[in-house]
Amino acid sequence: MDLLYFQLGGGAYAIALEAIADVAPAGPIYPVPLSPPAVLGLAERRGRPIAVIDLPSLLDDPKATVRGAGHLMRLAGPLAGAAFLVPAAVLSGTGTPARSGHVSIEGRLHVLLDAEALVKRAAAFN
Amino acid sequence: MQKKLAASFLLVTFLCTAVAVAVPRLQPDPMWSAALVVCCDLAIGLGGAWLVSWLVVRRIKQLATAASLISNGDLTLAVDIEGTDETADLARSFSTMLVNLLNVLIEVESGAAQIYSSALTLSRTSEEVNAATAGIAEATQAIARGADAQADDVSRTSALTRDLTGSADRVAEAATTVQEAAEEASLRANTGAAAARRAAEGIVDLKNAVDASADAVEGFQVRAEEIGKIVTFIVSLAEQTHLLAINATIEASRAGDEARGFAVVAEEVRRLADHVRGFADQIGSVTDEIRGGSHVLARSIRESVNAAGAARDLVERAAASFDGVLDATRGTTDRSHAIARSVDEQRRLARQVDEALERIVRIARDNARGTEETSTATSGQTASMHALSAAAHELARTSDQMKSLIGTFRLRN
Repeated sequence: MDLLYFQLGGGAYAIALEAIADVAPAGPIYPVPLSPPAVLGLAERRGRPIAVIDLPSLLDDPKATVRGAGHLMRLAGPLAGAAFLVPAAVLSGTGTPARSGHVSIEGRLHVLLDAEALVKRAAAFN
Repeated sequence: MQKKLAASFLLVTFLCTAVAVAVPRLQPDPMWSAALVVCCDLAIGLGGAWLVSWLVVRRIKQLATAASLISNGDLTLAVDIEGTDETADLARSFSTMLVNLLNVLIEVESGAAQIYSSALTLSRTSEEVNAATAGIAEATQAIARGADAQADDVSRTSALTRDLTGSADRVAEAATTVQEAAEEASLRANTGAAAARRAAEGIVDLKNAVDASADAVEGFQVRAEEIGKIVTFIVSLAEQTHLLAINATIEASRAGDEARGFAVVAEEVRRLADHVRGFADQIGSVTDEIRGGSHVLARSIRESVNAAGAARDLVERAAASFDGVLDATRGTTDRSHAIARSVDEQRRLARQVDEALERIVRIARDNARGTEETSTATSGQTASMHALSAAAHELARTSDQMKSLIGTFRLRN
């Protein structure tokens, strides 16, 4: 399966290529009052606002943080209005399913992220 | 006296004759007449004999009395010297003898008194001379000891003088060595001053070269900065290309199997962009290293320039110091010459002092020997003065005895 993968904190993560609409450098992020803590704010992408979700705060890794500007990984399909803030070093590749919730890319295990579940968790996160 | 005796005999004879003539006329009896004549003649004879003896013995008795008085020591009596007979002559001779004896005794008494006084004076003088001689002997012995000590001191002084001469020789050698060292130092200072001036000139050239190097390094830094900017731009392009490739991959996957080839191309583009990014990163690292190294190099060169300036100042000061050393070594050479001359003079004077001290030692030894001889002579003189004192005592005693003996005579009324 085609994947996008990256390093965050102490872990390696991958997400299905079909769940991603595009990847772009993160521009200005405008905070939105009363929004969930995992939602950093709103950004602009091709003239449309998108909700920026802080992926590190949704992972169970206290060391996970995005250094630098990072990239916005905009989701595809019904979740096209949301994007994950991920490190700039995002790679594309092919992986094979491994044990539950993991894929093997070039012989190394990565945690396979479920975009829909993460968006729901961000929305439910208080 | 003879006349008196003749007159007396004639008188006795006349009277006897007169009796022999007259009595027979007066006394007829022959017997009685004879008897009367005998008696009368006997009486006349006895009377004449008494008269003769009185005439002879009277003056002799006087002289015997005087002699007895003289024998008792009384020489003050006066002898009757009147008359013209032999006894008178005897009395006059006796009186003359008495007067002469008295004069002699008075002279002897006066002489004995003078001898006694002189003997006492001589005794006291000899004792004083003895005391003085003892003092002289002690002083002479002290002088002898002092002369020996003086000789020893002078000998030690002479040894010290010889040591001084040796020290002067060593000082002269040291002065010669110092002079040679000063000349050597002067030569080296000359060489050093010339070398320092050449070094100062070389440092100026070096400073100019380093300044040029610093300018070149600064220009190189500017170039490195430009390279860094270009690399940053390349990295940005690579990242954008990388994102475009990823997005192309996403789009290709969404297009299905027909876009599989496009996906492969997009993947190749991404890999190419990653390679470019990697090379750009390497170039950036190398550029950073070059930039850091050139920065360090520029700082080092600036420090080198400063150090070269300081070195030039130091070298110029060293050249000035060499000039000072030259002046000092010239002064040292002059002073070494003066020391050498002074040491020669000191050595000559020390030799003279040594010779004078040797003469003093000889004189002191001679003085000590002379003083010992004087001491010996003084000892002999002391013994002689003791004998003289004893003789003076004996003379005084003898003159005292003489005075006692003369005192047995009565010389004055």
